[in-house]
Amino acid sequence: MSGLSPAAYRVLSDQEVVRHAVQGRESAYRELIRRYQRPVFSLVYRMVRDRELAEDLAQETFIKVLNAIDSYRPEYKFSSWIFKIANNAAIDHLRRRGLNTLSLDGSPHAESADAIEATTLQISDGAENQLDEVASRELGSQIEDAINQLRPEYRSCIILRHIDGRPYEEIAEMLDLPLGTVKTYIHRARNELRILLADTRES
Amino acid sequence: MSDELLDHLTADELDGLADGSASPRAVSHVATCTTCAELWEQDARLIAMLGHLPSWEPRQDFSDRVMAQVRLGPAVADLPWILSDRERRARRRVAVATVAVGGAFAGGLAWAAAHPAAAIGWSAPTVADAGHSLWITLQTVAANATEQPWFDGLRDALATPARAFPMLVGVLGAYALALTGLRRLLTEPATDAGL
Repeated sequence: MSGLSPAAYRVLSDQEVVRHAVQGRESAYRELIRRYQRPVFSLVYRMVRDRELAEDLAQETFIKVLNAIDSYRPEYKFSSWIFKIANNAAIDHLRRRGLNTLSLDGSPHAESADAIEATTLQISDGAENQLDEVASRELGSQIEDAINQLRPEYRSCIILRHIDGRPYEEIAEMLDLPLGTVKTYIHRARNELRILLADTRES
Repeated sequence: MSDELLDHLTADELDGLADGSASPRAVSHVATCTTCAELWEQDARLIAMLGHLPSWEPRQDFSDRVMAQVRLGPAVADLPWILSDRERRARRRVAVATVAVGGAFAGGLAWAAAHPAAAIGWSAPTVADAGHSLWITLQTVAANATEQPWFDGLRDALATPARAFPMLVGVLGAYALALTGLRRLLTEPATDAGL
């Protein structure tokens, strides 16, 4: 197998990129990071709601995965593996800190106005004008806030299913849960979100 | 709970509506039941809103920071932290059980080696009792079988090889069919996910 240019890796499947990575090709490692940095970081960020911390946990996830790349089994999805480790890192952190729910209004560790601003969620995609942008941001914030009031297990399930669009079976594998439990968690999470969002609108 | 409530859509059926795999019953039910239609509408709206939430990106130097701590090249061993808490607990339980059973077995062997006379004195009557019990059981089963109304017919059917052979072939054929059916039932569907 010859070395490829960074651009050439983009057309390969995850399994093929991993094969190159196992042979020690740096471009293959970087391609895996390019593919998964955004979804992994988004998952962790939604779980812990602290940008700095999410960066650290996402970084830790990639370091673990890439340093053990030879133990990856190609019959399984690479995405399942990396999301499983990322989710475990976030859940472990929440358990250690006893943080099950977090504020929407910036990181709880932010100490200055700039830090609070930097860690506050911004919703702006698709807004056509300023009013739309404000409304969209407000609604997005309400949803994010509601998600963060869920139990961590429900939160993982609802993020992976309805934000990342993962199938139930893959979520069950990632979270080490029976398929029926995943379905139950997602159903309960949706019920709780409906109630939380209704309460928000009323208040 | 009234019949009407029992007829409402289950969580699975609502999920089916969400991902387009709903059964015809669910589709027709939601068209006529206002309660389920309302629930489904709320679910659909929530799912759509969740699907439109943006994804987040780490800082630009994320890749470089990761690569600074990655060991390139041949592999490192499978790392224990890849195991989830549940897997680690399960492995610990298996290890504890193995050590307990193995320890008890080794302890018994050591004690028997140290006290051979006592070990033989205890085990000889036990073995003899077990053999006797087995023999009595066999006799009882045989006596019961010969008393059954179908026994004479069976004995006649198996009396000559010409009669016994087709029956044996039939029984083996039925066994093979049953095994094939069972194997099909137990075969897992193909999947490309899992760890």
